Amino acid sequence: MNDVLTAPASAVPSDTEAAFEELYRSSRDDVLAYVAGLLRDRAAAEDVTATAFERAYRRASSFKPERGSPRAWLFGIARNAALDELRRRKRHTALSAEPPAEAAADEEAEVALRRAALHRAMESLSARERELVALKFFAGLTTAEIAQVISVSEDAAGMRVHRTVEKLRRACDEAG
Amino acid sequence: MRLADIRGGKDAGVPEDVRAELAALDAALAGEEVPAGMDGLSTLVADLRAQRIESDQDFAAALDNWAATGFERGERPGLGSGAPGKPAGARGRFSASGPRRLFPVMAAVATLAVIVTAVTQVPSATDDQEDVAAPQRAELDGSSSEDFDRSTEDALSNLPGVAEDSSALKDGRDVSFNALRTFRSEDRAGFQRGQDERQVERDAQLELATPVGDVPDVTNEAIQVVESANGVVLNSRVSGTDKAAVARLELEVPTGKLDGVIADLSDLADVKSRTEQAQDITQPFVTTEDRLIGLEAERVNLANRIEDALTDDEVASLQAQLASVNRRLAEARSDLRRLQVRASFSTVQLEITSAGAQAEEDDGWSLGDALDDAGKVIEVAAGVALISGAILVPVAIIAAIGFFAHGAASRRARERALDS
Repeated sequence: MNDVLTAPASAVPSDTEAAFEELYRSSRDDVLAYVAGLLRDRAAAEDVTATAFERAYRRASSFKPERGSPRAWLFGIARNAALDELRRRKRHTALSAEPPAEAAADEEAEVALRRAALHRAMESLSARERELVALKFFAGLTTAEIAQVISVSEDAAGMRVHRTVEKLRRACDEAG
Repeated sequence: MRLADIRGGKDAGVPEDVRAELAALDAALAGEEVPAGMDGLSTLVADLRAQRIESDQDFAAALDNWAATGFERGERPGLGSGAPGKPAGARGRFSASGPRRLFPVMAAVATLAVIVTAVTQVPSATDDQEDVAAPQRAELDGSSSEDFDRSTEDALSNLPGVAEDSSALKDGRDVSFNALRTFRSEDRAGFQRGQDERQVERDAQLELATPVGDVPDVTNEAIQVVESANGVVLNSRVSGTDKAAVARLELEVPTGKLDGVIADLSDLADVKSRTEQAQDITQPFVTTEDRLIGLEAERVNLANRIEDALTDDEVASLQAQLASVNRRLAEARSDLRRLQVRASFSTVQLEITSAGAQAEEDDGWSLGDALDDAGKVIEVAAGVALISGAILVPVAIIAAIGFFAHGAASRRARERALDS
C-alpha cells in the first residue's frame, strides 16, 4: 500500500484511488476508534470519521511521501476534524462521556473490576493524554506515526506515551 | 527513574527502560509475547483495547457506500445521527463551507481592483497638452452697430447716477457725461456686462511636417478643421515638386475655439514648431468705449438743443457741430468694432512642409518601423509589468503573511481544544 501511495506524481489517478481504497479499508475502524476515544461520543465520532475520510479522499493527490506514512497523514486529517468538533462542542454543549462498556457475560469479576477501575482512570486523564491512549491503543499507531500526527519528535512522543501509561497504572493501582 | 534520565541530556534521547517499555507495548498490541517481567503491560493493553469503541454494521455499511461513490457531496448519508438519512448536527459544519471557498476568489478580485485603480490613477508621462493660460472672454454675439446704438441708448436712459437730472433725462435734455462716468464706475449693468473681462488678442503659428505626398491631404484636412470650428481661411498657398512641398495658410478662428483648433491641427502631422502670442487690448477697448459713450451723449445733447434753437443761425451752428460729432461717432464705432474683431477672432499662420518629415515607404511600413513598434510594445509591457509587480509583490507578501498567520492561529486554536 505504501508503495502505491508513494508512486510518483506522474502515476495515473487510478493508482492513487486504489491506494486510498486500501488505506480506507485498513484504517476505517481505527480512525473511528481514535476519534471516539477523543470525543467520547459515538454519534459525533461517526460524523467526524466520515468527514475525515472525505477530506483525505479529496486531498489524496496532494499527499507527499517525504512527509510521513499514509496512515499518519490520514490520522492527522482525522485529528484536525476531531479537534474542530471538540472546539465546537465545548462552546455549545458539555461533553458527556460514553458509559463504560457492559461487561461481557463471561468476564471474570476481577477483570470487570479491573476494567471499571481503568475506565475511571481514563476519566482522570487530560484530553491530550486521552488522545495518546486513543492513538496508541485504540488506533494502533506506532510511536513514529504518533509523532507525525501530533507534530512532535519521535522521542517526545515516546516519552508522552510512557508518562500516560504510568499515570494509568498508578490510578489503577490506587483504585485497586 | 531519575528526572534527569527522563528529560535526558542534549543527546540522551529516550531512556533505555522507556524504549523497552514502548517496544513491549508494540508487541502486546501486535498480539506477540512481551518480555518477562512486563506481563502487566499485556494486561493493560488488553484492558485498554476493551475500551475501544468498535464500528457497528450500520455505520460501516453507510460509510462504505459513500466511499464507493467517491464521497459525492450530495450522497453523504446521515451519519452520526442514529437515524438513517437524518443529518447530524455537526454535518453542516464539516461539509465544504461556502464562505471559505469564496475567500480565494474575493482575494483575487480585491487584488485586481487595487491594480486597476493604481494603473488608472498613474499620471500620464506623455501628456502633451499644453497649459496655455489664455484668458478667455465671452464671445461677442456679433451684434450690429444698430443694436449697439439701441443698447447704448437703453442704458443711458437707466442711469442711476443722474437721479437729480431724471426729469431732464426723460425730456431728452442735458445728459451729463460726468454722470455717465459715475455710472460706469459704480454700477456695471446692461451693456457693461461682458466688458468687465479682459480683452485679449491671440495669434498662433504652427509648422507641421509630413511626407511630400501627404501635403495636399493634410492641407485639406486642416481646412476642414478650421471650417468645423466656424473659422475661415483668409488665404492659402501650396507649392511643391515630387521631392518637396509646402503649404502656407492664414486662418482665422473664433478665439474661444483657438486651443481646440491648434490641438486638432497638431494631430494631423508631426509638429515642428508651435508658438502663440497674446496681447491685452483691454485698455484701448475701454478707452474707445468711453469715447463712444461720450460722443453719443454729445449727439443727443446737440439734437435737443437744435429743437430748442430760436434762430436760423443758431440752428445752422448746432447742425454743423452735430455733423462733426456724427463723423467722430462713426470713427469710434469703427475703432471699437476693429477691437472687438481682434479679441473675438485669432489668426493662425499654418505651414505644412515636407522638410524634416520621415521618408515615405511604398508600403508605408519598414523594418525600422517594425523595430520601433516592437520597442514601444516592449516598453509598454515592461511598464505594465513593473507597475503590476510594484502592487502585486506587497499584496502577495501581505497575503502570504496572512495565510501563514491564519494557519498558525488555526493550529493553536485546535491545540487549545485539548487543554481543558
